[in-house]
Amino acid sequence: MRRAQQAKRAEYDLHGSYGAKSLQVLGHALRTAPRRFGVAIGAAGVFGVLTVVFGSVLGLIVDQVVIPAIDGKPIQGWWGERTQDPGRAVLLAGAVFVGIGLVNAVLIVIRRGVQGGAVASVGARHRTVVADAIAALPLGWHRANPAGRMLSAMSSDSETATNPLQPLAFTVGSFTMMIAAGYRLVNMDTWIAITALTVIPAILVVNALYERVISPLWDAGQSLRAEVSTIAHESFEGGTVVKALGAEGRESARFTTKVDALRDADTRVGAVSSWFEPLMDALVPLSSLAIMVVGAHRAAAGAVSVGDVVTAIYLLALMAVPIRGVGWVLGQMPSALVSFQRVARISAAATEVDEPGHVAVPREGAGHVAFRSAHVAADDGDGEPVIIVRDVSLELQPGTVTALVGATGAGKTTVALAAARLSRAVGGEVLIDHTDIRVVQALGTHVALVPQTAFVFAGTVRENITLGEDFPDDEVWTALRRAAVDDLVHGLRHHGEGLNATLEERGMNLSGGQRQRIAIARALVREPRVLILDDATSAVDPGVEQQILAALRADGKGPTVLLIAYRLASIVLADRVIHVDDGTIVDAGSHRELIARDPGYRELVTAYEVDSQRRPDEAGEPG
Amino acid sequence: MGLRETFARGFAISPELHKGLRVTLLLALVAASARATIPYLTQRVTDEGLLADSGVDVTIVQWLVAGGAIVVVISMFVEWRVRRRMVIAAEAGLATLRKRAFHNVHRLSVLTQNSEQRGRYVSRVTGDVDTMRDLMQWTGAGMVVSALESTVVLVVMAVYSWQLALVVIASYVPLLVVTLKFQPVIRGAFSDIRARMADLLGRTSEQLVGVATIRSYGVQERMRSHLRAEIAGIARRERRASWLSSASFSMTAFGQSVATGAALVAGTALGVRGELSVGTVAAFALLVYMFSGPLMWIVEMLAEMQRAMVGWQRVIELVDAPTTVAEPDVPIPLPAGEVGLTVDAVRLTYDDDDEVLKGISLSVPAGNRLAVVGQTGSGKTSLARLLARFFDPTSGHIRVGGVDVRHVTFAELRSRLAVVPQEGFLFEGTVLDNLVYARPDTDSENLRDAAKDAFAALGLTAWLETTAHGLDTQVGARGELLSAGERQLVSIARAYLRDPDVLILDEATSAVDPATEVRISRAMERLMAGRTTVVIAHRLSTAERADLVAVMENGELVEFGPHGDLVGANGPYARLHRAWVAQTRD
Ligand SMILES: Nc1ncnc2c1ncn2[C@@H]1O[C@H](COP(=O)(O)OP(=O)(O)OP(=O)(O)O)[C@@H](O)[C@H]1O
Ligand SMILES: Nc1ncnc2c1ncn2[C@@H]1O[C@H](COP(=O)(O)OP(=O)(O)OP(=O)(O)O)[C@@H](O)[C@H]1O
Ligand SMILES: [Mg+2]
Repeated sequence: MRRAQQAKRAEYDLHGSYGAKSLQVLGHALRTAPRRFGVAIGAAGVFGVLTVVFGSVLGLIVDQVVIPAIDGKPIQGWWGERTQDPGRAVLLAGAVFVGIGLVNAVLIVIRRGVQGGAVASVGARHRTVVADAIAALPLGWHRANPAGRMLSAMSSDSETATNPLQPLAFTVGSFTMMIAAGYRLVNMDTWIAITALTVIPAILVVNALYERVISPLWDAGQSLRAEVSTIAHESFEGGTVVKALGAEGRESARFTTKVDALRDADTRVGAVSSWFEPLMDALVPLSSLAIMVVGAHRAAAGAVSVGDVVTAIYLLALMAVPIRGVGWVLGQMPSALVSFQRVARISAAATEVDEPGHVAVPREGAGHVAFRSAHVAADDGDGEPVIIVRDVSLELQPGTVTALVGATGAGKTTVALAAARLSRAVGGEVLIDHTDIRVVQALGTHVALVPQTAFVFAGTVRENITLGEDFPDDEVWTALRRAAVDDLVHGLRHHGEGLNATLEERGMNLSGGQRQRIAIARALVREPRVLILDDATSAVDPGVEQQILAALRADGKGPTVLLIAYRLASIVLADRVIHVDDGTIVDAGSHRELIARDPGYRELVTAYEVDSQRRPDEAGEPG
Repeated sequence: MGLRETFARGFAISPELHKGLRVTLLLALVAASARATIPYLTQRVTDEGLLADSGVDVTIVQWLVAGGAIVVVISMFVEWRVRRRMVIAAEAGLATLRKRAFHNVHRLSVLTQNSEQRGRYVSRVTGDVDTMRDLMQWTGAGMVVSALESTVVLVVMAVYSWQLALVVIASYVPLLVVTLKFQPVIRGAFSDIRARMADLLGRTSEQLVGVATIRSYGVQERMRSHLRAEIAGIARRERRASWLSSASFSMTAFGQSVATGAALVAGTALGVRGELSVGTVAAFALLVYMFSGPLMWIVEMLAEMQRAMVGWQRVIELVDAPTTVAEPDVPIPLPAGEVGLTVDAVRLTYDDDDEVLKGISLSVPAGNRLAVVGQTGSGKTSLARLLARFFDPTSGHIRVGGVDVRHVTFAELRSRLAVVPQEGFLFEGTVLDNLVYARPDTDSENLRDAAKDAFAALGLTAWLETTAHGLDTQVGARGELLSAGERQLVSIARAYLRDPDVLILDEATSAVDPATEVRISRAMERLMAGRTTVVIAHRLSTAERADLVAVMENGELVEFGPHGDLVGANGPYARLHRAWVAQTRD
């Protein structure tokens, strides 16, 4: 696993100069889709040769068939050997010509079709790397980084990074053409060759300049693109709050500011490429003009024949196409490199390993959980971890229910996350069945956490419960019943019935309490050995909550439960209560003990009672 | 939406796109014509300079080349100006389009918003708009210019020999027809890709939110495989589109050989009959080449255009998506001062599901405090959303201060009535940044003071002091750097700062500890005295202190009245309350 991850990181590692990095990006593409690129480049090579043949055949036909036929002279060459009838000869010539055209057309389809396929593969590779990163990024990274960053890496960056690949096969394929042409030029005359070939350093210089100017601009543009995506995502996600606050105008203004900034950045990028492209377009014509002058001088001096000069101009015209292709590849490179590195950064931050453990803990009975002087930190993926919970020592005996009670922000969720290995203990240790949690294999089969905010995704009820694993329907129903949502699911008829009914994104077609119970059923179906309920019943009626909790302990074979809750009735159900405040454990014991000796705890759990007793004494209150 | 409608509607939405377009096209034409003189110049250099009767004439070559260089440089500059103009116009137009689409998403009702995955909307205002950039920046103009180039060459051909020109056209037409027939298929392929892309982003954004659940159940691989399947599906469709567009492109390339071959055959036949010279026939080979070059380019760009059109249409669709919960045509202002709430025979059905609210009628006099209680799924949240007009009831009326909310402008309704929804959603930024939403017009120093006062009034100063940087604490994406309860505290402070006449709290303190909750709700009672308040809560302590209690059961209002009366009535509420008391005391 570790090795696979290192390999993945190496895949996206770029190093060296700009040129070296560019080559690595191209190399990455060729390695990702070697066969497709191979076929496309091959087809492009043959196509290049055929282009030359096409021109020569056209000249031959005119010289050997058309002119003699019109002038009434004998047909010459290959055609002349076949027939002397001008009508037949010209038809034959036409047929050959169309035949070459057909082969050419087929080659074009292959070159472009396969090339497109190759580019699609590379794009898919970038997307896959981003997709794979989602669960491998530290949880804190997601808390600190907006969703837009991932979304734009998935869409815009993955696309931009493949842009220079579009003309790649064609360019590489026609290198043959270019090399042949260059070779002939060098053999013809040094001066003409030098004149013609200066176009290559010229292109490189223009490109280097362009790269220098455009890279930072493009980088700025892509960052803004991600920010625009972030604002859109955040604003749509908080759509209800935006409406509730009547903040549509403010949101539009916020979006407008960023969109305008993006527009300006893109315009700056466009302004630079709007001189680059014409300049590249002008280089080849300018250099053929230069050849004309140099060639005329050389011809006048008798160094070359006039025919050579004409040929040189023709050869440069042939070279122009691949040269332009190189220009395209190079022109797209700065932006592609920026986008490639944006993907690479996400891939590099994705350091969490799906299954870090290698010690198998037997799945027997309820689990035992212990924290030994654990310090738990929030890790946002970059920068120093912030320690939130200090020096926590606690023990959950198998089969018991422990309530974790504490004020808002005391650190309860942080403790719960640590017990599910979702946040890291930076000091001390967390043990499951006396085994360090970090090395436990398949922790998910032992510990189930129902998070504070129920997560329901778009999909059927079954998918939401099983998360794609194989649970028979009757087990799913049992879990639903124990979570007290079976009645609801029986009644659901949304694009399907019962388990096949679909739930909308975030479970928007459910009520808050219904969402929570779906999340609980998801945990129960796995029959975990340790169940952590992080305030997972806050929107459930007290009666139903009692029913769920009671069912957990009914047969005495229930899991070890860590319960975060505020309701006294739920707390009373617990065998033990742990009171946390401000990141540390204040006291632990039975409810009775704590209520007697811990004033903070007493204030917390009896607040309602005290409040309703005080109410009648207070005069003058509204109502 | 056809091509023409798309352009018409698109230009109407972003007028920047066609402002000055004519001048730009004219300039583009100048650049293209300048470029077209280069082959002509080459020919003259060869004929008059290199092959001059008196040997190579260097002077003439130098003059012609100097002229050519000037033309090349001029065309370079003109092209630069053209591209610049296009870039500026395109970027301005696209920005407008993004803003319009974004704006409309917020005008859609909460229900419509919820029915689509958020990530899909994002892909419309980002990726879909981006697909149009190439078209708008250059290819669009390039196509027009190329079409003109081809037309000019066609005219020249016709002047040389109308018969041959006809032959050329005749051999091109079938292939062009096929190519054009292909276009809708190509467009379909691109449209498929964009739709899939939106799905992928939707799924991705969902997994981003559910990452804790995914990790804790160890289903990373399964979730990845969902995304990988989407990604592979997109790649497959991209390959298909690539085959389709290359087939259509090669058709024109083939057309070129067919036309050249046909011109040679027909030209020779005509030449044999003495109707054409050898020079004309040879010239035709070149002319066909010059004619088909731009044509191939057009076909190439046609595919690009299809892609852009798909993106454009998707965004236009969003801009034009009908808003079912609309602003009133003739708004009626709310009465000043305190306002009461009336719910009159309200029924609500989501989609085609069962009825969720089955004829609710109740009224809350101005300044009163209503508690809504009932089982999960009984319709409390739905009622709250209707009161805030997040959407409209299927039948019946909601009135604020006697005015049907459908006749009140959103601006007024939102400024008079504040809702704190169940989910404590915060925007990325600091705590203070989030409070700005309550008081958009207050400058930041005054707001800071007001915010401090608000936290103090709610009894939350102690909490604020425990945070890392007080009002300047970063709350993170969706507010997730704060604990769930802390997010709710900020949401409540935000609503309180807004100082509304009607306040609706939908389980606004569900994740807050009891001591803090009691403190807040007592503060709220004091602070909101004389304002109309609706509180939804599972904790019946809230109901005990309300003026009125509404008990919901299965979408029906089963009891309504003051707490004391209902406890005495010994009905459903009394039962609920007894259970509550038993649960909170020992
Ligand atoms: N990634 C983070 N970076 C910095 N601070 C954080 C981070 N995550 C949480 N915190 C802070 O740590 C504290 C404890 O958070 P936690 O979510 O554990 O509280 P909690 O006891 O579960 O509260 P609640 O009852 O509101 O859910 C809070 O004050 C919170 O603001
Ligand atoms: N967008 C929707 N589409 C379809 N059905 C919905 C939608 N929203 C809610 N429902 C259904 O309407 C019913 C009432 O939901 P509502 O959210 O109003 O309940 P609630 O009383 O607020 O419950 P809770 O106390 O759990 O928050 C539920 O059965 C729910 O499944
Ligand atoms: Mg918590």
